[in-house]
Amino acid sequence: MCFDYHVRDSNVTEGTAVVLRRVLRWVSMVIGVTLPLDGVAQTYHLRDGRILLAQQVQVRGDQLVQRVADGASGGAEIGYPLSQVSRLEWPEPDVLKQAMLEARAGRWESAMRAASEVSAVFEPFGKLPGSWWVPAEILRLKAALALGLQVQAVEVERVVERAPDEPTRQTSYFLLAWVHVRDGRVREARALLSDTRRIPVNAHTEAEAALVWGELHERQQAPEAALESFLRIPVFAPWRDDLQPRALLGSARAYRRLGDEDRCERAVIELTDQYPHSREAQLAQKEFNL
Amino acid sequence: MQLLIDLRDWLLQLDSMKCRAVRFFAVLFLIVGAAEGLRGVPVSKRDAAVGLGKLVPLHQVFAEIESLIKGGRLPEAYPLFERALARMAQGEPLPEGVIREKLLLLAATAALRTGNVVQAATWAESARGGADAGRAAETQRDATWILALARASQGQFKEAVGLFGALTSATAYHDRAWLYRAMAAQQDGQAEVAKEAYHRHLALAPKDEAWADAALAVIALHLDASQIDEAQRGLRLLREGAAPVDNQVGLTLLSLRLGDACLAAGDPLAAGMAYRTLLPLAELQRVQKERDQALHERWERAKSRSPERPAEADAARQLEDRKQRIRSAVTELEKITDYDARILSRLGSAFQQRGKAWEAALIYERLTTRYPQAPDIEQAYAGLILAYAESGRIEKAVLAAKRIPRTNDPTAALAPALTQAAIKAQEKKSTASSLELVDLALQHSPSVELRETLLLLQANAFFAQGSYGDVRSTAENYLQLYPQGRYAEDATYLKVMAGLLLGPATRSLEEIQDYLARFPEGRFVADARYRWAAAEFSVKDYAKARERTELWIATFPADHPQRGEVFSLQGDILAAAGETESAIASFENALLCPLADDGLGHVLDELTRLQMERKEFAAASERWEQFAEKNPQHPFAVNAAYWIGRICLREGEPEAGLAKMASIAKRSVADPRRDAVERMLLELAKVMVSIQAREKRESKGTGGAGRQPLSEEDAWKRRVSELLLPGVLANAPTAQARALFVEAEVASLLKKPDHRDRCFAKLAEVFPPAVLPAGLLGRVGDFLTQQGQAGRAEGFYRELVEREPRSLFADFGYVGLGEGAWARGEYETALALFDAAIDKAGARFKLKEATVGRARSLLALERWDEAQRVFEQIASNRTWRGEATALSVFALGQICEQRGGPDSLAQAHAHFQRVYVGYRRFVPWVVRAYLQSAMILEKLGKRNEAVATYQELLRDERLVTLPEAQEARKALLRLESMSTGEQQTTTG
Repeated sequence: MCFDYHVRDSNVTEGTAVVLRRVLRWVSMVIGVTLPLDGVAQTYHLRDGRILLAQQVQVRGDQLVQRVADGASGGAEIGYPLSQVSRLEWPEPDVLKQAMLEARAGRWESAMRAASEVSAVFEPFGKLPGSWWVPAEILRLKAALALGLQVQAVEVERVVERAPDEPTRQTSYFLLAWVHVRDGRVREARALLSDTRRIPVNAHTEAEAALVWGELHERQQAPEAALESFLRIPVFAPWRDDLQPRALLGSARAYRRLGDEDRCERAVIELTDQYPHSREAQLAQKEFNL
Repeated sequence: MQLLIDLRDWLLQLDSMKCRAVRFFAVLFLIVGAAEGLRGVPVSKRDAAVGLGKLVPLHQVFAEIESLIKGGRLPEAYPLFERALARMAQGEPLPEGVIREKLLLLAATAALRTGNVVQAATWAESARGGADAGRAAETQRDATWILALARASQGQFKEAVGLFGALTSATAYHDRAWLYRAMAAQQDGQAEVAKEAYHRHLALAPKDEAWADAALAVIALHLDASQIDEAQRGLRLLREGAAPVDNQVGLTLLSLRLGDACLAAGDPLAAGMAYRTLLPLAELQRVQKERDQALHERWERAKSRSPERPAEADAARQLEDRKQRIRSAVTELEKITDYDARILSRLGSAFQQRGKAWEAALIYERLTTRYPQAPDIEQAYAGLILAYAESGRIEKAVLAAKRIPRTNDPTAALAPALTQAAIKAQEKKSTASSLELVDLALQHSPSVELRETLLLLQANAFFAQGSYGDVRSTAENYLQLYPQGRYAEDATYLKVMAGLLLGPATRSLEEIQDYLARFPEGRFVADARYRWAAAEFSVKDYAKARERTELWIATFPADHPQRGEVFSLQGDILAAAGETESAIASFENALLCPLADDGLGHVLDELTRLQMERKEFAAASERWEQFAEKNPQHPFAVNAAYWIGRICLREGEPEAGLAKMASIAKRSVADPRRDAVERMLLELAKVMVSIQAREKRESKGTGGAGRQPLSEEDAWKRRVSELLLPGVLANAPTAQARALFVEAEVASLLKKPDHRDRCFAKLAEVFPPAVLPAGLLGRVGDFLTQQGQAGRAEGFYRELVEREPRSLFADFGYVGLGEGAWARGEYETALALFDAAIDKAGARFKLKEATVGRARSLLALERWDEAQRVFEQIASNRTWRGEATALSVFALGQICEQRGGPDSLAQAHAHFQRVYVGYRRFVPWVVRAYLQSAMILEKLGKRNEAVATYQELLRDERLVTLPEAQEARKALLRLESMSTGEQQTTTG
C-alpha cells in the first residue's frame, strides 16, 4: 500500500480535463475581479468618510459614477471624483491569485494576460491603500521580462514610486535593475543592485536579486560570477519554480564559457527534463544543438 | 426507556445517512476519545431524589437516565447504570421494551466517559456476548468498539488491535477503526500492522489536518523501518499540499530524518531534495507560529461550542492533541543546536557527493561566513576547499584554506581536503597554489600516511615550479623520515632529476647509477638509462653517450614511449660528433616513433638543418610537405610552410615554393574553424613579397621586360586568387575572406597602408562575422577600432570569444572587448576580459595589450597594490619599451600620489618626471606628466619648482595648444597672484 493510492485522480480524460480547467479558469477570471468574495465586500472609502460599494458604482474616466434610483425623471447619476477615494477595501482578486499560480508554474503568457487585466482595473487607484495595482503590475512586468519582451524603465519606475512597503519596493528595484541590464545600462543596474539598502530581506527577494545579478554578470561576460549568481536560485530557493528555468539556462551558458562541457550538458538536460515547455528550454535546444 | 429506543433508532439512522463525519462524531458521542474522562459524579440531589439505597422502580431509574442523556449529561448517569445493572444481576427483571444489550452498551459508554474503563470493558463484553434479536450484528459492532477503546485505555493494545481490526469492514466505523487500529498497533510495537492500518485510513479519510497528522505518523514508521521510498513519497505529498499540515515542525523533523537516511544510504540526490525543503529556523518558527495561531483559534471555537456535545468535545480534544504533538516537535527541534548551520552542512554534503561542486561551494561559503562558530566548522572548510578545487578554482581554494580559524582539527577533515586540493592544483599546473595548499595541509596534523603523500606532492610541485634546489631538499627530507616509505623510489628519482637539471652533470651520473643500483626493477629504469645517456652527452663523452643510447634501444621494446626521444638524443649526439649521415638516420628513426610536440619540432628542425647543410633541399622540402599533408592541423604545419618557402627560395624556385605552400593552405582555407591557416598565410604573404622584390630587381635589370610585377593591385588579387581560390573555393566565403587577408598582408609588407585598409574595410563590409575564421575576426575588429568604429568592432570580437573562447587568436577578442568595456567605464567587466585574454586564450598576440588593460582596470577600480605590481611589471619589460612604459610610469605616479604623505608625493613626482624626461615622444603622457608633477610640487610647498615646471611645459611647442597647457597657464597666474599678494603683505 503506497501513498500514491491515496491521491489518484478520477478517470477524466486528459483532454477533457484540460479544456474544462481552461474554461473554468477564464470564467473565474472574468468574474473574479469584479464579484465580491463571499462575505467580503469590495468598497471604496472616500475622504469624507462615505463608503461606496463597488457593485453600486462604475469607474468612468476619472469618476466613480453611481446610478441613483429611477424616479420620474428616469434616473440620475452621481459622480465622485477618483481623487476623493482615500482607500479601497478589496479582497485579493481571484484573477490575480490565478496569475500568480501561472507565474509560479512558468506559464508566463497567461500570467501576463491575467495580471494585465487586474492592473488595468486598479490603475486609476495606483498606490492607494487596498489597491492591487502594484502587485498586478509587478507580475505583469516580470512576465514580460521573462518572455523577453521589451519593458521600459519608466514603467518600472512608476511601480517603485507606488510601492506600499519595503519588500515591494525591493522587488521593484530588482525589476528596474533587470530592465537596465537588458537595455545595456550596466552601470545603473550595478548601482541599484550594489546599494546596501537593497540587501534582500528574505529568501524570496534574495532569489530575485540573484537572478538579476546573474543577468548582469552574463552580459558582462563574467561567467564565474554569473554562474555563482544563477546557482543561488536552485540552491537557496528551490521552491521558486518561476525562476529555475532562467537560472538553469544561465548556468549552462556559464559552464560552457568556463569550458566545463560536462556540467553544461547536465544543466541543459535538467532544464529540458524538468521544464520542457519553458521558453528557456526551447532556447537551450537551439543554443546547445539538442 | 423511550430514549434508549430512540438512541438505537438514531444509530440506525446514522448508517442510512452514510455521512462519515457525522457518524464519526456520533460514535464518539458514545465513546471516550481521550484520557480526561469526566470527574467522578458526586451524589447529586437527583440521586437523593430517586433514593439512594431505596429500591426505586427500575423504570423510574431509566427515566432519570433518559433525562440525563437528553440533557447531554451521560456521564452523570453512570452511578444509576451501576445500580440498575446490579439489580438486574440480582434477578430484577428489565422493564418492557428495554433491551439488555443496548442498556449495557449505554452503560459501558457512560463508564468509559467517566474513566471507569474496567467496568466499561466488562459491560461491553457482556453486551457483545448477549443476544439481541434482529440486531445482533449492530450490537456486536458497537460493543466491540467500546470494548476496543476500553482495552486501549487499559493499555491492552494487542487485544485492542484485534478488536479494531474486526470493525474495519463495518461501514460505520471503518476509517476510524483503521486509524485506531494503527495507533494501537503502534503502541504495541506492531509496526507493519500499524503502517498498513494507517495507509488504509489515509485512503478513506478526508484530507484535512487530521489526515496530515496520520500521514506524519506513518512516515515516521516508514523511516524507522528505513523504507525511504515510502517516506519520500509521503513527505512529497504533504509538501505538495495534499493536506494542510499544522505540525510544520514535525514535518521538518521528518524531512531532516529522511535526508539523513538518504545520505546514509548513499543517495545524495534524494537527501538533497529532502534537505532543500527545510526552511531556515527563523522562517520555520514564523510559519509554525502562524499555524499555531490558527490552530488555537479553531480550538477556542470548538471549545466554545456546546462543550457537552461529544462531537465538539472530541474535536477540541483532537486539536489539543495536535497542539501537544506540535509542542513535542518544537522541543525536539530546540535540542538541535545550530540548526541552520547543520542544515547547510548536510545540504553541502549532499551536493558534494553528487559532484555538484559549484553548488556545494556556495553552501559552504555561506556556512563558514555566517556561522563561523558552528560546531565542526572544520568540516565545512574542508568541504569548501574541496568544492573550489573540484570546480577548478584553485585560487579560491587557497583563500578559503587561509581563512581556517585554527590549526587543531578535531574532525581530521582538513588535511585530506587540502591534500586533494593540492593534487588538483598540480593537475591544473597551479604550482604555487599547490605548494601553499601542501604547506597548509602539513600544518593541520595530517596522519603519517598523508604526510608522506604531502611531502612527495611538495617535491613534485617544486619540480614543476623549477625550484630544483627545493626539490632536492624536500626529497632528502622525505628519505630521511621515511627511508622505506611508499614513495622512496619516487623521492629518490625526483632528487636525481632535479640534480640533473641543476647540474653538475657529473654528480647526476653518480646519482643515476646509484638509483639504478638501488632500484634495478624500478619504475623509472628506462628513463634513468635515457638520462644517463643525456648526462654523458652533456659532459661531451659522445662515445659513451652513443653507447648508452644503443644499449637502450636494444634493451627496451620497440613500442616504448620514450624510444623516439632516445633516437632524437642519439641524433644530437651523432650530429655533435660530426657523423651527419648517422645523425640523419637516427632522427628519421625518431620520426617513426611517437614524439611530443616539442620533441617533434626539434627533430624536424634538426633534420632540416642537417639536410640543408648537405644541400639536400628536395629531401628536406619533401619531408615538410609530407608532414603538412599528414598533419594539416598541427601547429608545425606553419613551420612546414615556412621551411618549404625558404627552401624553394634557396633553390631559386620561388614559384614552386609558393605553389606548394598554397597547396598546403588550400586544404583548410574554406574552413573557419581551422586556426593554423592564418599563420600559414602570413608565411605565404612573406614569400610573395620576396618574389615581388626579386622580380622588381630582375625587372630593373631587364629594363622592364619579363613578368608583370606584383606591385599592382590587380596583379596581387589575381595571384592570390590563382593560388588560393581555384575551382569551388572561389565561392567559399571563408576562402574569399582569407584571400583578401593575404592581399592585405602583402600590402602591409609592401608598406601600402591604403591598400591594406581597403582590404580590411572590405572584409568588414562584405563578410559577416559568422563566416570569418578566428584568425581574421580579431584583426578585422582591430581595424574597425582604429577607424573609430568601436561598436561594429565589438560584434567581431564578440563572435570570436563566443565561438572560439580558447582559440589561438581569442586574445584579440578579449582585449578588444576589454578595451571597449574600459572605455565605457565598466572596469570590472574590462578586468575580467583582460584576465581571460591571458588565462584562457594564452595571450599569444596581445600579451602587452592585455597586461596594460589589466593594469589600467585595476587602477580604475582603485586596487592600488595590485595595479602597482602590474605596472611595475610592464615598466620593467624591455620588449615593451614605448608608450606602454610611459603609461605605466605615469600610472605609478598616480598610485603614489593617491597614497598622500610627503614621501609618497615625492615618489610620485619622481615618476612623473621620469615620463617627461625619458619618454618625450609620447606627447599625451608628457604633457600630463608635466602638469601632475607641477601640482605635486605645489602640494609639497615647492612653489618655485612648480612654476618652473609649468613654464617648461609651456616652452614645448608641441604642448602649448593642448588643454593641459591652458591649465598650466591658469596655475601660473594663480601662483603669481599668490606671490604678489604675499609680497604686498610682507612690505605692507
